Amino acid sequence: MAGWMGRVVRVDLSSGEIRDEPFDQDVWRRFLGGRGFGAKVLWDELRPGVDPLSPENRLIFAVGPLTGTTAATSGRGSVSTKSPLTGTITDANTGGKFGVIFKKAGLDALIIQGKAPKPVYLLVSDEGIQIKDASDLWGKNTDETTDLLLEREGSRASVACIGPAGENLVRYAAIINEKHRAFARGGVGAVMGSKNLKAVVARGLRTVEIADKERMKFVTYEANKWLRAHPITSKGLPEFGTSVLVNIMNEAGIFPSYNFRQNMFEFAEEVSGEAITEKILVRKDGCWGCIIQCARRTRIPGDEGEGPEYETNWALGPNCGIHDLEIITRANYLCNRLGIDTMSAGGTISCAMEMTELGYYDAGIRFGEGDKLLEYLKKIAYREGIGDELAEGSLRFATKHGHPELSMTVKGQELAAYDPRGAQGQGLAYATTNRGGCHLRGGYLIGRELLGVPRMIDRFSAVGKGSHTAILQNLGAALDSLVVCRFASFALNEIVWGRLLTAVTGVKYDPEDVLEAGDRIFNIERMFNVREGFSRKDDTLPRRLLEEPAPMGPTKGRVVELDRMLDEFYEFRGWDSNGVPKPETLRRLGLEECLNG
Amino acid sequence: MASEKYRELMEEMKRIGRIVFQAGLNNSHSGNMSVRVGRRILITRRGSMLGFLKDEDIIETGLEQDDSGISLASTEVAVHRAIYKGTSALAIIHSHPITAIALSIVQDEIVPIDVEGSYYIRRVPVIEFEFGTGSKEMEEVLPKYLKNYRIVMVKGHGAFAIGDFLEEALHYTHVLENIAQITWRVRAMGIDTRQFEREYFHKW
Amino acid sequence: MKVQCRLFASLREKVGAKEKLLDLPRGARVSDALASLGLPSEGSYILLRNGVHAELHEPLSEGDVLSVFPLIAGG
Ligand code: SF4
Repeated sequence: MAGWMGRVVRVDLSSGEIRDEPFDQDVWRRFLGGRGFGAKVLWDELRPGVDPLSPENRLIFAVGPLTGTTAATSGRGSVSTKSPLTGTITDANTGGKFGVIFKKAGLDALIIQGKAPKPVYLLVSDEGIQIKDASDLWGKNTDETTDLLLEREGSRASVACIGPAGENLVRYAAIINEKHRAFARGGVGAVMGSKNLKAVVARGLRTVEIADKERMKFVTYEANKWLRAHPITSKGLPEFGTSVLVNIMNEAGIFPSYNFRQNMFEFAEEVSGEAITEKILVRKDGCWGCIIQCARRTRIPGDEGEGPEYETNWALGPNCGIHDLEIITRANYLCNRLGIDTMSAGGTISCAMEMTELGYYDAGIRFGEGDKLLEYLKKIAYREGIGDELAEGSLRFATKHGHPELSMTVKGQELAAYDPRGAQGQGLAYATTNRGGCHLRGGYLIGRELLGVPRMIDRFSAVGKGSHTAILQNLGAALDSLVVCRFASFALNEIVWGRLLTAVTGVKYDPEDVLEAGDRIFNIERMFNVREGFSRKDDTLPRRLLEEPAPMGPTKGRVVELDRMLDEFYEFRGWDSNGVPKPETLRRLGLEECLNG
Repeated sequence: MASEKYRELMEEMKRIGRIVFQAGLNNSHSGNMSVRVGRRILITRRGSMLGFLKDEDIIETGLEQDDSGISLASTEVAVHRAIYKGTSALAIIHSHPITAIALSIVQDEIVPIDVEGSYYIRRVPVIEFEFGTGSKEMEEVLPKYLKNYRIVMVKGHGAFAIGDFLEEALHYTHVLENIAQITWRVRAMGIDTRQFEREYFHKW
Repeated sequence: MKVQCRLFASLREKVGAKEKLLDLPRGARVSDALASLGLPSEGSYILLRNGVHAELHEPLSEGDVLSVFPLIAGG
C-alpha cells in the first residue's frame, strides 16, 4: 500500500491484549488519517456520556498519508480522544519527530483503551508492540522520563510521555514528545494518565511507499519553491519565530492582557519576538524535515530549552500581567517538564488572578506575580492546595466560586492570544470550534483579518465571516489529518496538498476532494458533540467579549457580533438554526454512519 | 439591488469589476462575476458594464433557487450556482481575455513558459462545449474541472476563475492572460514555445 | 506634518531604528512615509495607520502613528 502503512493496532490496557485491526481502506480514504481517523473511531466506538477519564475512553495516536514523506512539514503526529476539559471530541497535534518515527514503526494508528493495573509504557516498533512496566518512571517529569526511556530503548527512539500533571489527571495535562514538543491541548495527557500509561515510545526504520515517485518529485519541488519564495515561510517565521506576532497584535489592539480585561499590553515590546531574538535565542530549530524552522532554541540563566511560542508566551505572560521574559520562559520550560498545556494553565491562573483582584475569591495570586506563577504551576501539576482546584480548569474554578463569566473559555477550554472584539471572524471561529476555545481548530481567521494572507478582509465587519470561517475550518481539518503543519498553508493552498496526496497514495484527490474530506471530518466531529448534547447554545463566547466593549486603542468600543455571523455560518455549512448538521448535509458528505446513529 | 448589509461586498465588486475592464480582460459589456455569502449570491446584472457597476447592477439571489430579481441577473447565473454548489468557491469571475481565448482556439491546454506565470499557474485546461455557453452541459462540466483547477478556459469563449476572494479570481485571470500574451509574442518571433514548457506542467 | 513611524522585526535593522518621527509635507501618503524611511514601496508589508489596516495610497494626517511590519505570521 502506498502512503498509508496499512496497519492499525488496538491495545486494551485492562486485559493486556494487543491485536491488529482490519485496515479499512475506504475509511482512510474518506478521513485521510490523523485527526480525521481519530474522529471516525470516536464516533463509532464511544457511548455518549462516557467519562473521559474512564477506561472506556479511547486515546488514538494516528499519523497521515503524508507523514514522513518529502511533503513539506510532514514531520507531525496527532492524538484524539474525548476531552476531560470540555467533554467534546478533541485532537492535539505535535511537531518534532514523534509522528514520523511512529510511522516508521509501521503503523498508521494505535487505538488505546482500558486501564492498566499498574503504570506501563508502550513500545511501538517495527519489531513488535509491547506493554512494558513503568512503575519506576511514575512520578518523574518528562525530561527524566524521556532520558530514561531513550537509554532503555535506544537513542533512535522517540518518546511521547506525560509528566506529573498527566498522572494527577490535571484536566489540561499535555503529552510531551522529545522534551519540548507537545500534544498540548484538551487534556490528552490526563486521559493517558487515567489509563496508567506513562509513555508511548516509537522506534522503527520502515519507509513510506510512494505511489507515483515521479509526480511526487515535481510536486515537492513546486511546493518547496513556494515555501522558499513566500515572505512568511521564508523570512517571517524563521527569522523571529511565532512571537513576532506580539507587536502587530498589540498595535492592532487585539492583544489581550490581564485575563482579557485589556485588549492591549503596555509592556508588549518586552515579550516580543524581537526581544526573544535579542535576549534569549540560541538558534532556530524545527520539526523533522521542515525547511521553515520556526522553533526557537533558547537559554536563560541556569536553564535551556525551546520556546516560548507566541501563544505560550502570551498565556503565561501578558495574560497574567507578566512581562519578564525570563520568567515566562522559565514557566514554559516548567510546563513542558510537568506536562501541562501552557495555554490553559495561563488562562486558568489569569482567571484566578482576576478573581483575587476583584475580591470575589482570594486565590492568593495577583496579576504580575511571576514568582508565584512558577509556584502555582507546580501546585497545579501535583494538585497541592489551591492547585487542586485550578487543575480543573478556569471554568470549573470560576463557576465553583460564583463567577463563570471570568473564565475566558469556549466550551470550557481557554482562549488564545487574539481578542476577537477587533477581529470578528476570529470570534466566530472561537465560538464554533469542535474542541473548545482554540485559534486553530476554529479556523485561523487572523490570517485574513490581520495578516492579509492570502488576502486582507475587513476585521471589524461581520459580513461574510461565516463562509470564510467554514472554509478555513475544513482546510484545517484536512491538514490535521494529512498530517501537516498549519504554517505551511500560509504559502501552500489546497491545490498543492491535493497533488501531494495523489502522488503519495495513488488515489486521485482533486483539491476540492481535500477540502471535502475536511468538511466531512469537521461534520463527524460536530455530530459527536451533538450526540454529547452540544448545540447552538454552546457556540458562544465569554460574556466579556459579547457585552463589554474593548477598552483600548483601535479596537476601542467594539464587541463581537456573534449571532449574525452564526446564522451565516450554519447556513453555509448546511446545519439547522440550532447548529445541527442537516441529513442532506451528512448525505452529501457521505457520512452515512451519522444518519442512522 | 442587493441588501444594504452587503455594502462592502458590493463596493468590492465595483472595484474588481473596474480592474477587470481596465485590464482588458473584458469588453465594455461582456463577462460577469459573483460572490457567495452563506447561501446567498450577489451577481452582476445581465448586460451590465463591469467597469462601471452601479448599485442596481448587483443582484442578490439564492444559492438553491430563483427569487426576487433573478430575471435581471446574468444569464449565466445557473452556471455560477452550479460552481458554488460543486466547489468551495466564494467568488467567481467570468471574463473574455483576448489572447487566452485565441490560444484556446488552437490548443487544448495552456501552460506557462514564463517565470512569474509558473509561480501561480501550472496548467489551464481548455474545455470544449458542443452546445455553447449557458447550456446545461456547462453547468455539469465546469464545476468538475473547477474542483481540480482554480481557472479554466472554455474554448473560443472565455475564462472562469474561482477563489475565496474576488481578488484571487482576478489574479488568476490576469496571470492567465499574461501567460497567453507572452506565449503569443514568443511565437510571433517565429519560435516554437513548446521547448520552454516544463514537461511536468502537462501532468499537473 | 509629523508622523510617528514604528518599525518591527527585520525592518528595524533595515531602517536602523525602532521608531522614527517623520516630518512630511501636507498631503503625504503612506507610500511617501515608506520612501522617506528608505523602504521600497513594492515590498510586502503589513501597514497599520493608528492601528487600522492602511493602503499605500492612503493620505496621512498630522499626528498619525504608522506601524510597519514585514509580512509575518505565527500562531
Ligand atoms: S513550520 Fe515550525 S512548527 Fe511547522 S513543521 Fe516547520 S518547524 Fe515545525
